[in-house]
Amino acid sequence: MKLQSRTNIYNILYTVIILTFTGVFLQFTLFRVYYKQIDDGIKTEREIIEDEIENLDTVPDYSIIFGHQIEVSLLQTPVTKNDVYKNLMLYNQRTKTSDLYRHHIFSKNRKNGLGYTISILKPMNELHKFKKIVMISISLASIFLMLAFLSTGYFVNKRLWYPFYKTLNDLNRFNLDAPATLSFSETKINEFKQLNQIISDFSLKLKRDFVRMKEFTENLSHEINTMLSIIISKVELLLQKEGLTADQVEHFRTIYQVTNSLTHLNNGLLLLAKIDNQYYTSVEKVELAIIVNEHLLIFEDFINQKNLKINTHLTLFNINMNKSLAGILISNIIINSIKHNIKNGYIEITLTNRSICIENSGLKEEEKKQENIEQYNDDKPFKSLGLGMEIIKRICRVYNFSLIYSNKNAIHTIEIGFE
Amino acid sequence: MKILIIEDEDKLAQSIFDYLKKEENMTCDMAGTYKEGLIKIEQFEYDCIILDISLPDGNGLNILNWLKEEKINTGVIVISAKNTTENKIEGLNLGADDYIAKPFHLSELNARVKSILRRRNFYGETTLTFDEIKIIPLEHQVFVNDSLLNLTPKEYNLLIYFMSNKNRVITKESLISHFWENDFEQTASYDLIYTHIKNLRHKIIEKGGKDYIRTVYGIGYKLSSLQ
Repeated sequence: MKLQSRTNIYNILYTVIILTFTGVFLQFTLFRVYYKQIDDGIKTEREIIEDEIENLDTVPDYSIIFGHQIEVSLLQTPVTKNDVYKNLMLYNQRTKTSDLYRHHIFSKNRKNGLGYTISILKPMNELHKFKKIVMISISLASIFLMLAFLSTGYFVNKRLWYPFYKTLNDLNRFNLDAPATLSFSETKINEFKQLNQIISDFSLKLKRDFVRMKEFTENLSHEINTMLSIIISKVELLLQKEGLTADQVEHFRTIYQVTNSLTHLNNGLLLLAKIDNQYYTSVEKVELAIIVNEHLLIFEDFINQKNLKINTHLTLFNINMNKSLAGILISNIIINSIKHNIKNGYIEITLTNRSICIENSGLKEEEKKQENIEQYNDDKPFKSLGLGMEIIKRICRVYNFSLIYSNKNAIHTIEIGFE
Repeated sequence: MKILIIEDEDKLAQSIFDYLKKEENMTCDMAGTYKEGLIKIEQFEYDCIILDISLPDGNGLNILNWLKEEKINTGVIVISAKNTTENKIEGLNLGADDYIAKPFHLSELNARVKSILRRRNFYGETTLTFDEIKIIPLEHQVFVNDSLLNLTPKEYNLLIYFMSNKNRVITKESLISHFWENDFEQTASYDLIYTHIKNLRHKIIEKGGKDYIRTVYGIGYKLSSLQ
């Protein structure tokens, strides 16, 4: 989720919560004021009536005088004092609606000791209006506030967060292998300054370490290869000697073969390290179909040896990748398909601009051992297979290619998706 | 033929020296540092220089530059432990005749040195002969008793390799890496080498040649006229 969307969601959420509370508070306060006003009006009316009826024997119709329902009854007995205000819902026959009224009941004794009661019923029509006004104003405030948040959010995102997005963009394009170091544009905001500084320092350190690691890997491989050269050359010189016993020859041969295997292993591991260290960063347009054909020619002898039938369906298209890696990838999948093939078997290579699929016949007994690549590696059913498959896997990882291996009914398939 | 080996690892330099010195008409010199190498090149005339590019006191590629500037016409074969394409291209661009990655087989190095010498025509002759076998490298033609041999490119390549390493034991591994850079199934590769050699021998014998290529049990093969 984008920073701006997330900010907007929070802003809107807070607005809704705050405005709900404000609305409730506002309504409560307004109602209090309104009741007070109504009650004060009723009280004034009551006091006028009180004054008048102190010396009267009959009561005039106050309803007509004040415009709402007022009942006053003079009693022949004393009463206990009563002074109550309450709300009352009354059904209006004419309009067929229930209306809210303020009802005041008041009882008191006159000077002559006889009591009276006053009942005043005053409609509170305005209360609905108040409710409406509160709702409308709160809603309007909500809308205005949201609009304000959205527009400031947009502005903040555009202006205030600009250095942040710039940094993000620069980081995205940061390449460990490239000689250029990270440089950020100036910003006046301290936090961003700090962020850029930290990232800058971090990237410098990373770059230094990366170079150091690369140098180390290369030096190590240089050392190992030189040592291997010495062993191989010394054994070759020894093998030139006349009169070696069969026993000696056997020992030398073992040393020689193991050294040769070690050489391949060293080169394989170095290759893996280089892929991981992003050694092969240069990218160019590569014609995979041509590389496939080249490698089929290189391995022609091995293909003929097993009398394999080769079917190719190659689409001509350019893919952006490192040429060396493309060669290593194709070479390894072809070697794989020859190595694990059977005599008089077949290899079918289908190359489209979406994927390359290599299918080959194989031994049935391997079948249950693997269902996918990961298991394939763990089982290591063949010598040196692990390394070849690992190389294929790592190259796929570099380019985010999908890799599917399947083995059903003695048919092995490797499919690499380019998207 | 004078060869200079510029290699800082003296044990390896000694091996190369020991192998090459047994070649006919070949004398070798060794230099362990960049400086020593330059001094030797200034003092003597070499037909071919075997140059390690990572030297303790300088980059071997600078020697290539220097040779170019001084217009010294010497064959150069670069040996490097840094087995990368970029490295190879850089060396070849600077005027090296060939590039070989460590670790290499001495027979392979020898064959490459011979090839450079041949290409530069230092022998002053255009054919390679071995008893009744005659090779015209420029035309890729092989004659046995003056009749043309019809060889596949691999068989031809194999014969040249054997001719370059006359009277030497050539290991199967060196032949395999001569033909295929990749690490293929060992037994499959042995079988292929065996098949190619068998066919080559057969073709030579068919034209009345002697069977010069012998199997050295457990190790490899040897081309020699001494029976």
